[in-house]
Amino acid sequence: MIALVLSLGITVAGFAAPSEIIFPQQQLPIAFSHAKHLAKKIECDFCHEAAPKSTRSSDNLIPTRDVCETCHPPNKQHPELSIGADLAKVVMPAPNLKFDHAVHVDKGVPCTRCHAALDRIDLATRNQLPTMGLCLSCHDSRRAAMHGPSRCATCHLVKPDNTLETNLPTGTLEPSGALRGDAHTLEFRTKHSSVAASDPKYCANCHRQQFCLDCHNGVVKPMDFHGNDYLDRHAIDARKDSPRCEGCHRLQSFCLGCHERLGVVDIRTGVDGAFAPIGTQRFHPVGWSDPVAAGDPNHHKWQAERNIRQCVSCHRQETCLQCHATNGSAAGGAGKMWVNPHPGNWAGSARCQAMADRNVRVCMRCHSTNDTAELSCRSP
Amino acid sequence: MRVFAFIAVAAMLCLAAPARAYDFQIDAETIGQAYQLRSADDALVNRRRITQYLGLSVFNLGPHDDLGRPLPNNQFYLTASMRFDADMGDFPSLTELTGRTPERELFPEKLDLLYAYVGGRNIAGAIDFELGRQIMIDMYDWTSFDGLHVTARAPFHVAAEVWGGLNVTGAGIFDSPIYRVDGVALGGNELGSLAARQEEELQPTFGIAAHSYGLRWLQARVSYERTMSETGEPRLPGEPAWGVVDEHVGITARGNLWNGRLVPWFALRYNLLAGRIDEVYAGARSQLGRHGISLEYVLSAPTFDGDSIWNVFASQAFDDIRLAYDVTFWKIRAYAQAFTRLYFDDNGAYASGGGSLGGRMAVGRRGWVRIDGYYEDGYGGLRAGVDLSTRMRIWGDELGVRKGSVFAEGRLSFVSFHDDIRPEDAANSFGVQAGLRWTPLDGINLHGLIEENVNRLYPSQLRVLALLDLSFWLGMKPRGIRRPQPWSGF
Repeated sequence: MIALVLSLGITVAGFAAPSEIIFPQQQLPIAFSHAKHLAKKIECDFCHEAAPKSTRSSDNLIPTRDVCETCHPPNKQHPELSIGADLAKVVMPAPNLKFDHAVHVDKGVPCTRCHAALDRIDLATRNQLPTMGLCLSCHDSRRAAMHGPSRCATCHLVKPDNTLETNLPTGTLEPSGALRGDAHTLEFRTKHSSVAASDPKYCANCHRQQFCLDCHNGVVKPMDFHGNDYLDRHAIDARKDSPRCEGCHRLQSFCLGCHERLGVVDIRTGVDGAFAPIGTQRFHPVGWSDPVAAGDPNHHKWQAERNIRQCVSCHRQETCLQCHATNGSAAGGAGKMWVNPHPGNWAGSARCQAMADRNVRVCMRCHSTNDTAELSCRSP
Repeated sequence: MRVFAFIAVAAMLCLAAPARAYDFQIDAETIGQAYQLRSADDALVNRRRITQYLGLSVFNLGPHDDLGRPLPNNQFYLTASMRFDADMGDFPSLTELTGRTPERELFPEKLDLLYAYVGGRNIAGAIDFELGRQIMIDMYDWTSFDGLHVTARAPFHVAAEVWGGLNVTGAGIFDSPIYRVDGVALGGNELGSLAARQEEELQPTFGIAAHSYGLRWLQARVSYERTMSETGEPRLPGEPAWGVVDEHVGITARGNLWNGRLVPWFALRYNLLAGRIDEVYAGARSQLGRHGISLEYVLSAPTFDGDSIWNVFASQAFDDIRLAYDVTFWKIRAYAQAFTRLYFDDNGAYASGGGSLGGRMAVGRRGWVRIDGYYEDGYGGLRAGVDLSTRMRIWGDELGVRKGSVFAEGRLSFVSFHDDIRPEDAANSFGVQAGLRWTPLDGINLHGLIEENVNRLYPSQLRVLALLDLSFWLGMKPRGIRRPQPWSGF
């Protein structure tokens, strides 16, 4: 338990570190104390004199040796020992970010707002650079006093299509999850729908639609959804509807089309076609379509109630209409078993009325205008 | 409507500013696949597919600054994606289709215009629009329509949306049926029959929505959409001239509490046509440092095209509870997740459940190895297995987007499966995959993959994939920035 608490504490602290993708690793082979300089009431822009007017993140804001020598006279006999001599060895790569110091200074944002605790440390490192959470404390419409634009492209580099540049020399930029709970964890692809469906335009900050289409109705199976030998076992997933098939495939085109081509289902729509095997084997177990369903949990009635989507991936409506239609209906009465497919208490229910009011055509696939009682739930 | 849309697109292009610093992107992707499918007679039949994607886009048709950089407002763009799919192979059971409506999924060649629209961004600082064929994601569903979609941002973080046009149903010449609402299948019915009459009817659609924007602590959206179709011939006595194909209202909300440490969400769709709530999602994710945990409840009730009798048959919804945990430490990302789903019929409830566990470890900066294990049982059947996969850089840059980079990929897998109503399909299957990805020039990727599976049912089941991916920017951007394809799963 203690280890777990310590681990949590360490990792929570780690969450606050600036991204290495945005701020590349630095080389700082110098000895310097911000604390001592600030204690002498030296203003930030005395040393970082270019900062207040800097408009680009790639501007070099490290003080020059000349600035150091303003207070620290150079060692003329041994110049290599002069204060500031090691500044040339400092490597501070430009961040993969847009940043305009001048705009922030003009708005009155103090340096310490973004570069905190400098009065308590010696050498400033990446840890004194801002995290996205800190940026968002102003680039967030709630904070009117120091409000800044809240678009991603305000700070992040963008491509010509206005999506963010995520392929950076330091690695691939991924969301931390602090905004929408969308951390791109290993299993994120299998559960991204709740983020994407609630606000597709949020995803469009980084992904163009073609990216989505590569999987959603793509022609190549994504291996993390459909691993090896998937075709042999996909019927199990279809019965469970897990992962949800319609997320990527339309059942009545993608699934049905392939099943018909392979002869898994009979595309004949005549009376003899329903559930009849087209090959030498039958897909459904014996008794699947017996008129009496009671007692057999595998009867198609119960299977359809549990997950009718599995039926839809192989059958057309006409398969069902072989038995489920009233005599004299437009679907034809001869040979029908007139098995009522409606759930209990259907007649007069809100569902019955909603469907009959909006599209009575569907009712008339089984009922005729003579079925006045069955069609009576329509609003006057 | 379509003619109007094309004229409008052409007019927009003619009215655009003179050519300068525009950004063109051309994507061409050619995918060849050969694999084997199991027919109704348990024979393995060969399938060979060649698929060609062609994408054309022009961005930043609008004002630029003195350095040639596009300004954020009043930008127009044009983007289009087409797909040609040649589906060849042996289909011994294919039945003669003469006399039936054409079923595009059965065509050996298909040309789909996936999307093609002209868009505007931040017009007058407040309006976005898309005009043309576009794909829309609305409440956990995908639709496609030819028409106009406008978003106007008002002050106080509220935006309004309105859209309308004709649904893409697969009935048109370059239509794809892949976004048609399920329930009324294209093809397979005799031409002129009652069964076939609604398949090719035009489906006007429109919708409105309001959503929040620019708020960190809340993203919310309320939408309404209605799609209709005219009653086709032969028309029955007493039938109305029009019927509703789809009508629903949706609500989504996503919060952000304690600077992202807790993100709750909620979504609900009420299907007015079916008179029921057909989708509910409610959950929350907590991120504490490197640890993330999420819990979600899902309700899903099947609903279909308004002309489908399955709206009547679909009496029960199913419920999910999903729990997931992820963590990052050292060079490892790991996860564990579990779920249970309840299915209902008139007799009671049936449960399905399971979970998965996995981790990925970085191997220096060269690549990674990953292991995933999973187990699911209950309603539907059992599937359990383990995958061991890797992706390694042999040469070149770490992202694999620059000239000369070569990556190798591989996967070993074992899966045991048992169908609960077809026990004859139970098997233990061993699989192996090996792939190579090469970037000979910036913007050009070649990818080859071989998969072989062995199980009790077949001594060999082979799949071969070859992919040529070309992606070029012409304009301000250096060429060839493209991340690996998402479907590779590596």
